[in-house]
Amino acid sequence: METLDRLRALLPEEAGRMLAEREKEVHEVRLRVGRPVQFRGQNGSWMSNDVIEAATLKRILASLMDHSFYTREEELSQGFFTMSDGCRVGVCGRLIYDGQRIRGMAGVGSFCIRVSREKRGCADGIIPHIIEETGDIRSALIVSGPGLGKTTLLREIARRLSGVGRNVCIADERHELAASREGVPTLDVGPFTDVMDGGPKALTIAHMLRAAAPEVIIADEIGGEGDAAALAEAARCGVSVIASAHAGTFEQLTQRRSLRDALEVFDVFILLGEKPGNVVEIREECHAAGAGVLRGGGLRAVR
Amino acid sequence: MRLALAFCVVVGCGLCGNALSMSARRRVETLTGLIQGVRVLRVHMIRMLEPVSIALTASECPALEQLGRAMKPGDSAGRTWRVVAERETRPGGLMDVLTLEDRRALDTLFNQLGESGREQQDILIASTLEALGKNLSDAEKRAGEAERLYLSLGLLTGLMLALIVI
Repeated sequence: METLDRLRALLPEEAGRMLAEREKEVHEVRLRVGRPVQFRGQNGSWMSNDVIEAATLKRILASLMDHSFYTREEELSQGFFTMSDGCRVGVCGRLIYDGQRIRGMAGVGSFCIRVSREKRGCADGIIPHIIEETGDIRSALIVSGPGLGKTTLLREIARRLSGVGRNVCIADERHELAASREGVPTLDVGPFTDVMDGGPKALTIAHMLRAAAPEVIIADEIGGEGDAAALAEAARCGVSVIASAHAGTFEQLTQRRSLRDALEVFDVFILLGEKPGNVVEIREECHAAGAGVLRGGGLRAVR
Repeated sequence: MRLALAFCVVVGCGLCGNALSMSARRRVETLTGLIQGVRVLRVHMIRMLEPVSIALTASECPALEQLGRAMKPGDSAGRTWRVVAERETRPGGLMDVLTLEDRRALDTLFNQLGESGREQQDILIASTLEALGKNLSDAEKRAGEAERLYLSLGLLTGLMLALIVI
């Protein structure tokens, strides 16, 4: 894991040693000015005794950005940037707001590194709900709160669908799914997978439909402006869509206005919860119910 | 026979004089290459948003390409530049003809390269191009003067020697 290797060398001595000892367990590393380094894993969190100074935080952040701040400016205005191995760095500090939009970030007080890992086999229980007996691919939406494995699951689904010979296209707005470097995925997303990254999902999906003739489109964390229309257009083109969205329950999902129109596209809804990668519930559409399927009896729980 | 020898002496001395002005011409060539490289760097950084090391490697200027290749993940351009400049400004290096003024302009560039937003980086590169452009004009002027001076000195020395030979 390139990001953790680099971080280990940049952290104060004790924190670096702790990271080295428990690297495989670490899901998150949090650094705050004047506070100890906090590590989080599946079974809780632990801290080092080192206190992070403002200069150290700034130095580590600049190094993680490869001293190329200008390349991260747009991402930072959304509060995060993604490392080349797919790890996401969420940054908190003083926002520069011009009255209409957040233009960037000036002072940084803390940041959190969320570790991206490939987990082979994590989609084993889900694949039978996505691939029908006829071989058709059903559109699916993975739903969960933050940090519960949506991206890891999507990556594995992409690899598996590609592995059975499907042309899979990934709209990787935040470079997290495929961690592409100069357009080439560094994570295993399957032999027949094409990746477009860096652009807004809605535009990327339209590009992929024109450029790559996909059978399946995969997109992480939908809910942005134009996402619903782009997904609906993909579905009308006969393309299956596998996506993820933030919500703690199916009910919360239906309450997200930006997602309501997008829900029509999906045949299967998968809820993750409790701990990373844990499938709590799967609901499948049992007739062409259209919008609002999650609210009414148009779905049956299958797990 | 003596006339032929005298002619050879004059021509030889003239060529020696010309060779002495070579370093001034090399400074012009080096600065021209650096300016061109910084222009390409600007496109790769500001338009294509490539990280500093990749943009430098793609700059089509040997000195900047070397700097880009020397940058390890997480290294700043400024720190790497100090190491590369130390080596390449020595006699025989890629930038051994640069003056203190040239070096100062490049130090300013590399110490801040990549460390701010897009607009500031564009301003930084523009001001570096301006500074290097001024240095280039100065270098061209000096190269012309040096060429004339050393050629004249060479020819005069040659003529003196020719007179002695005759």
